[in-house]
Amino acid sequence: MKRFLVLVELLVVSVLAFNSLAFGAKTELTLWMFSLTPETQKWMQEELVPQFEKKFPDYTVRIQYVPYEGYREKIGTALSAKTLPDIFEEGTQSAGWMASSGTVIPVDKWVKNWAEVKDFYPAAWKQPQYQGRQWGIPFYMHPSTLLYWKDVFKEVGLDPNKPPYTQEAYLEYAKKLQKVEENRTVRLGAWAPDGWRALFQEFEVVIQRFGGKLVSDDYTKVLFDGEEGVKALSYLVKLHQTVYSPGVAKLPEQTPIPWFAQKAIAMHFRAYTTEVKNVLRYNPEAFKDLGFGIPLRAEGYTRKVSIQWRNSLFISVNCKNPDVAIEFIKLFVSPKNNVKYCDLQGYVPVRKSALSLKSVQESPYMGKFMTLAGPYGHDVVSPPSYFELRQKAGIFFEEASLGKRTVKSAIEEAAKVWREQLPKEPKPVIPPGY
Amino acid sequence: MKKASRLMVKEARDGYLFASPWIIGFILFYLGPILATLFLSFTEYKIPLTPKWIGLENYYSLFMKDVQFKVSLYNTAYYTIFVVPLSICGSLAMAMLMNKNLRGITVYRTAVYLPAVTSGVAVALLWMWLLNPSMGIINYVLGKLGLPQPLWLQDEKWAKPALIIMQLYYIGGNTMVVFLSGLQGVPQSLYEAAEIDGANWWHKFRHVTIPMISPIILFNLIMAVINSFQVFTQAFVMTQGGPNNSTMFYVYYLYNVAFWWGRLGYAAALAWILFVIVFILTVIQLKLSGRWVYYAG
Repeated sequence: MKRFLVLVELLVVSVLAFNSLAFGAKTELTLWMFSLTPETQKWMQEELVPQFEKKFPDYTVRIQYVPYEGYREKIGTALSAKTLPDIFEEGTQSAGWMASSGTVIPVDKWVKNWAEVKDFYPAAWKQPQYQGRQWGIPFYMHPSTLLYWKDVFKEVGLDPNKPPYTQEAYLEYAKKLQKVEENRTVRLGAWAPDGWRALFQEFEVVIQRFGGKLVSDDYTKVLFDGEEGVKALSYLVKLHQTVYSPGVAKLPEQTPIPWFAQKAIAMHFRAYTTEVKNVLRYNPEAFKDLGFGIPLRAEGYTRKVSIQWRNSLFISVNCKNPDVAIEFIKLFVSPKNNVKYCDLQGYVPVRKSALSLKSVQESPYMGKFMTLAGPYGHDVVSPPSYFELRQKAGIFFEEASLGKRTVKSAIEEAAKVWREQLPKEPKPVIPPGY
Repeated sequence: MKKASRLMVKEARDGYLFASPWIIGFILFYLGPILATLFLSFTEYKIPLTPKWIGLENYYSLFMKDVQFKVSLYNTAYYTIFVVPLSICGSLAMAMLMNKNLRGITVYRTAVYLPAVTSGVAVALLWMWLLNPSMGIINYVLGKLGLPQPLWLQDEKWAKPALIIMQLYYIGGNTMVVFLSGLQGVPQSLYEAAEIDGANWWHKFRHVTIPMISPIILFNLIMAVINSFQVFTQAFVMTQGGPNNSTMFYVYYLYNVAFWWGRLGYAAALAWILFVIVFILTVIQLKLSGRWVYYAG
């Protein structure tokens, strides 16, 4: 028995000794990211992390790749349990939620004098801002622009070199391009938002084309119930009713080949790099017929704007070495790494200087999207309850799109929901020392 | 006597020891969270802020202000009213077919049971194709028969019926297996006696089978009501609650409130209301069962 105990003791001591030898010397930096392809994971593990560890030999980076489907639950649980990693990714409308959670630190002090800030696209850089503070650093854009099929334009008598520049022209083109046979949509003349989520998202964009805003900068006043809001929703309702006529079957499920790539959508004002990648993957011969347009504006107005997703990296209050964490983020968003990451993921870099890189110039879409769409991303509004407010308001918009409610009443009801909630929104929590 | 009681103590201790993993698991992972949600339902708990006691406000908001709560409750009740009879009658019919003494019946039983072991998401995706208004086989057949071809999931009037029809896919599942075991427990002598008395197929079914398996019907009925109130996957995968909220089912709404809106207190109140509804329905079913359930023992 004694011998056995001695053996156990020896085993425990050796395990502890091994642990301290193997890992004790390095401090761990933890990172959570979502929706990474296996290629991206490989690159991060084999190239990005070694780059960082070379610069900071006392640190090691442990990355947890979280599937997108479970990310929100995971972040929510970690926020509540205060078990967030040092650095983590969050989505486009998350700044308010993060800022008011008390679990992230603002990064102003590290970026105030960072010369490279100017190299970020302004629309991207603004995404993680909330109530005057910078809460994270954007690391990719997923911008959208107008894509269309030149041959389909020709087929209906439209000039293939003259895509629509205004949303009103887009609507007129849509009517010509739409193809319905036996009560079935064979070709969607133009993509249009359908359902409460997309309708509200595009409302956020279209109101900006008319020079309007959802809320005031300090998030105290609802501004979308004015003339611009009515115009924006009226346009979306008209567009919806043009391409999704009642009683007509919509396009069949877009599998195995996505709609746009199979030319089942003639024109798409919310087309991402994904659409181009899909064309190259599923219908490469058709690439020559693909036309690139620019983000739309409203007739009589000058602002070109389209929807643009931007994700950022945040540093949690749990992070013991935020100075090092910020260095990791800076390395991650350095032009070369940023381009590599975006290339692997199908996104667009947030750094303007990336345009001069060879890989960007050689890419069939990256440079195009950076130039055509990068600067025109919509201004993001991110109150902490954004998702609740979007759904509650979006439902009225959907009713309007189906003709069950007037535009005016949909706007009024939606504004009422936002007006009731905004004063109750939690304020940003700034940890001491920041 | 002393020895016997020591033995009993030892036995009890061992018993608890063996049961302790379950007891601990139950307390930690079920009872604890259940009681926590009861407390949370009286709080404003927005992830990750600290819960704030607000008394009955969540319940007041749900009943007095929340339109989506009412819509989701209506949608779920509508779904339950149609799905439960469909599931009970369909599964019973299928079980009776599978109870035939045919050659290769075990192969049929396995084949019929397959949907129950198929992933709900895969089934949902399959049905999205079947129900596709332009290319789906259902509309193709309806067209060939000269019948109207609904837009199914694209039409708010047809989206709920479409999901109800989809439940037909599961009639060979667990409910059928339970019915089958019940049918196999009905003594053959009762059918023989009925036959001697001149009973036809319907008489035997109505006066022998149904009474003899009535406890099984009750069990399946209770489970079907509980399950249909928890309908989620179809809405999550196929419709996201649309079009126009027509498939916004209760649990899907609850999921949205909890994980998209981050309002755990409000979601907890929703969960408790669901529990109370299901509990009341179960009690009613048990009370009424005295009138129609026959316990042979």
